[in-house]
Order: sequence, then C-alpha cells, then structure tokens
Amino acid sequence: MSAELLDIADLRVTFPVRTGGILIPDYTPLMAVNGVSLTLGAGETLGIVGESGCGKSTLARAVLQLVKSDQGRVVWMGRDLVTLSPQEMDAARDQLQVVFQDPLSSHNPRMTVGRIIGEPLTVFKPDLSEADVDVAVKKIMSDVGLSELYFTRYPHELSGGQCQRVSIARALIAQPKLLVCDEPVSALDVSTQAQIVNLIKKVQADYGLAVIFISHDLSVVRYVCQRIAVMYLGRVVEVGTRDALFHNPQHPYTRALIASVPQPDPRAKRNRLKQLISGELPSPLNPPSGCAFHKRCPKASPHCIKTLPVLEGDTLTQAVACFHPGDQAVPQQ
Amino acid sequence: MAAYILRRLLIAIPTILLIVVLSFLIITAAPGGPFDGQEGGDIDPEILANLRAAYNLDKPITTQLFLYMKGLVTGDLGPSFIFRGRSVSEIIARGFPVSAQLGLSAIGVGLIFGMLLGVYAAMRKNTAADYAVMSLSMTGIAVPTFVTAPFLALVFGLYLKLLPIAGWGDGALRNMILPVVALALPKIGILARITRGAMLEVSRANHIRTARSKGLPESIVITRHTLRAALIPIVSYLGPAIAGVMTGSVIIEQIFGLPGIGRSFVEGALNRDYPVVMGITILYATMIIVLNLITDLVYRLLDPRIKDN
Repeated sequence: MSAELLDIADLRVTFPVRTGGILIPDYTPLMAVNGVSLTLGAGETLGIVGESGCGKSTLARAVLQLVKSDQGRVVWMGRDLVTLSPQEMDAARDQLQVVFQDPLSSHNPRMTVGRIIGEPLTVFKPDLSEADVDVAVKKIMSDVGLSELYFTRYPHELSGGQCQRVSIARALIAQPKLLVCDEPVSALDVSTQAQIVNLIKKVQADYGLAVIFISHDLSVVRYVCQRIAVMYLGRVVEVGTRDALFHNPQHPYTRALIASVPQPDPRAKRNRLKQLISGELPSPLNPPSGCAFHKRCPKASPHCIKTLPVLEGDTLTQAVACFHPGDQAVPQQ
Repeated sequence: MAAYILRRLLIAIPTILLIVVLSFLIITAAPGGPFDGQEGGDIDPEILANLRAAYNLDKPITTQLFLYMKGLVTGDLGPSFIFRGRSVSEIIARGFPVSAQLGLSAIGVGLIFGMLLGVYAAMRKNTAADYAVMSLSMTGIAVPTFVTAPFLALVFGLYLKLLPIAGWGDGALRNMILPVVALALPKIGILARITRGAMLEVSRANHIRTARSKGLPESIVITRHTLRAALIPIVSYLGPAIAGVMTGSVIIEQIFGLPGIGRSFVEGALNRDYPVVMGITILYATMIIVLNLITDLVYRLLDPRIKDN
C-alpha cells in the first residue's frame, strides 16, 4: 500500500466526558473514532457516510490533526502526521485542505472575501507581493464561479452557496493534494447543493485532487464518490466501491441506509426491500458489546453480542465487518 | 461617516442639557448651603444675605438655573463659592491635566499588562498558570485602592526609599509611578479577565478552526483572528473607564496628595460649592458622551458588519 496517498491505520480518537462527581470529577472516554483503517489513492474520491454522531467529522478532523488522536497512524505520503510537531504540521497543511459544513461561520466575519481566500498564500508563499496574491485570488474566484465583485465583500453579505464557493476557493488556493469536505452541502438548499456538488466534482477533476467527502446524504455521496466507507459508532462497518456498495450491500446497516434513501418513483417504492432500522443510536459512552450494531440489527445472533466482527475483504473493492453479511440466512441456534 | 458623527453630536446636546438641569436640581435640593457652618461659627445674617444676593442664591431656583445656563452657553462655569476669586474653569484647568495624565497612564499600563495576562491565561486555559493569573487578577480587583495605595507608599516610599511617598512634583515620572500603579492594579485585573473570556469565546468559533486548518501559525491565529474579535468587549469596557479615570480618582489623589480634580469634586460636594460640582459633572458627562462616540467608531473599525443606524 506504499503507493497510497493517505494511509489511516487503526486510528482512535476519544474525548473525555465528565460523568458525575461534583467535587471529584469522573471522566469516561467517549470513543468517537475507534480503530479506523482506510486508504486513499491520489485523485481518488472517498465518501464517508453514517448517522449523526458516528464519528465521520471527528475522523476527518483527526486526519487533519485538528483533534488529537490517542492511537494509530495517519501516514500522508510516507510521513506520519500524528508525530509531526505543530509547526511541521502547519507547514504541511498546504497539501491538506478542508471545506467545513457551516458556510457562514467558517469565515472570519471581519475579513473581506479577498483576504479570506488569499490568507493561505500569505503563509505558504510569503514571497508573493500583495498584487500577486490578489491576481491568484481573482483567478481562483473565477475557477469556483465567484464574480470578482465579491472580492471586497464580507461573508455575511454572501449567500450560503457563495460562502461555500469561498470555502472551496480558499482551500484550493494553496494547491492541495487532498480536499476534505466535511458535510459541505448539508447546510444548503437542494438547488444550491447540486451546484456545489458539481463544483466539487469539477475542481476534483481539474486539480487532480484526492477528496474525502463526508455526508449523511447517500444520494450525494453516490453521485460524487468512487469508493464509500460506512461508519457506525466510531467504526467502519463496510467499505467498498460505489457500485459494489449500492448494488450489493453486505452489512445490514448499509442495506438499511440504502433502503432509507427516498425513491423518486412511487411504483419502485413498493418493491423496495423493507429493512428500515428502528431504535436509537446507542450512546457512544457505553457502546454495546460485540458488534455495536447488534441492538438494532435484524440478523443479530448470540455470537454478534459476544464478539466484535473485524473488517474482512479487500478495502479497495469491498470489505465488511459482519458475521452474517449479505442475504445469508442467520443460523438458528 | 461624517454625517453619523454629526448626528451623534447633535443628539448629545439635549442629553447634556438634561444632565445639567437634573444635576442642578439635585445639588440645590440637598440640605445646607455653601455658607453654612463656616469656621468661627455662624456668619452675621446681614453678611450672609449679601453673600447669597451676590451669588444669586436668594433668587428662585428656576432663575438660578436660567442664569447658570446663560453662563454655560458662553463657556462660563461660574465662580467657586468657597475658593473666592477663583473660577470653576480655573480649577478644572489646573486639576484636569493632572487627573488626565494619571488616568491615561493607569489605563495604558492596565491595558498592556491586562491584555498580555489575559491572552496568556486564555492560551493556557484550565492550567495552573491560568488559575494563577485569574486569582491574581481577582485579587487586584478585590483589594481596594485605599489599601494598595498606602501599602505601596509604605513599602516603596518609606521603607525602601525608592520613590516619593506623595506629591505631584510637576508630573515627574518618579512621582507618577506609585499612584499610577495603584490606579492600574484593578484595571489590569478587570482587563485580564475580560480579555481571557473574550479570547475563549472567540476561540470556539468555527472561523478560528478554519484559520487553523488553513495552516496559519498559532501566532497569526491568535493575533489576526482571535484577539481582533476579542477586542470588542475590551473596547466597550475602555470607553467609560477612560472617562471615569480621567476625571479624577478621589482616593488616589487624596492619599498621594495630588492636585487633581477628583479632590476638588469631593471638596466641592462637601462644601456645597455648587458651581464646582456642576462644572466637573458636566465635564464628566461630556467625556462619557465623547468616549462612547469614539467607542462606537472603533467598533466599526473592528467589525465591518456594524453599519449606520
């Protein structure tokens, strides 16, 4: 796997959560990301899907070293980012850029659009004159479909879609190799979502970017990504190519997620596999034993309650962490 | 911008008029008068009547107010009742530079050390260093100046003989140090706490996370992104604080024997020296109005989202 751009191995992120104890505080670790291993090749688009709170965003932030991981490696082009000093990491950030979810609050409200987009250049290319930075900013603004008129505007004067274009321009100006999109369209109108998703696809092709695309919207992920990882309670339960995952989902959770996507054709809906899952997402503070999904899984067997299934198969094509994958019947005990 | 400033200044005129009327009524309504209980017993009633006539105190209150306002619009704040032969304008002209120099120095010292400590504490949030800075600043706020000022005079003036115990010395630096330090200590404490709180508030914002993800070094994240936004509450505090501290600190001026207007104000109030009290009140009110205007203008510099209206 040495040819991979990014190699995430056994990554774990926990947050100490204060539980009880007014005088003597007691902390329980919340496993936001629990032993995730994924790889990403140059120019590849990897989607990460899952319910709220399954650790998608935390995984992205841990890759970018915006949160500290407790365990595991994030090998970026041969270097483990986890071991870098903050200064070394800052210097490496020109290659790893990110688009956040909230379009407006991600930008400093006291800066003009031109300065927001140009700021990465002032740190990564300090030799550039102010005029050169402005030229680069205007070039990238036209690349993402923003009129030059917005150069001197402030973020609050822009619409959500325009703000997200600013985010993308700001991320691209440092000429990164990896673009992390953390729910980039979930705060936008559906019509704007389509524009931004198409823009991400376009810049991905134009700039030859690798993209990690996080979303809870399966149709968007299906449209953008070549490979998709499904997360549940901090773990990857299934990963595979888009076609493998959508046409032949193996994990009951993946099957349920795909079944929950609304169908535009009412006749097709009747034939759809009825496998919507019930129940709440268990608390990550106190995850279920064995397979974390067993409490909501229609196929759960006593074995699932006791033993944690590991991801089996080739993660580049299709791998699943389940004892009863696919249509296989549950053995009667 | 110019129209905005002009509009604000025009609104200030009725505000000051209202303050003049209200404070005039309140002061004259207080029992006693400027010529009661002078040393050597009561004054001869005839002399008293002459004095009251000379200063128009025998006229109805509305007439007195009218006469005072008439003087005011020509810039005449009237004579002092107690310090005969000196006008209120003279008293202010003599005392205000002392108080202003003292106050501005204290605010300057408070701003530098308060913000440094606040930023430091915010960067070391919830560590021993943070708690140490915050308890020190709480001490600075809690211990009153009438304790710190004599203490400083005692240690540095009397025992160590490093600095003068009291006196103004025509504003020599040596004479300024102790009063400025005594005046600045609570300001340092307050500003450190405001800065820390504002920094922490802003540092949770999404755009600070974006700034970090851009790859900016921590120094730029703090100065350009965090501190700039955190300046708003500091500026809000600073406006009225400057007005307050420049118009004199009674306690500090009394303890260090400084010829500022804070002392004149208190003496004026105790002696029912109406024109002195009125003059300094008007000065204070004007400064508050002007500084609030400046504060609002600074807001607009700091935050481009704030517009007219």
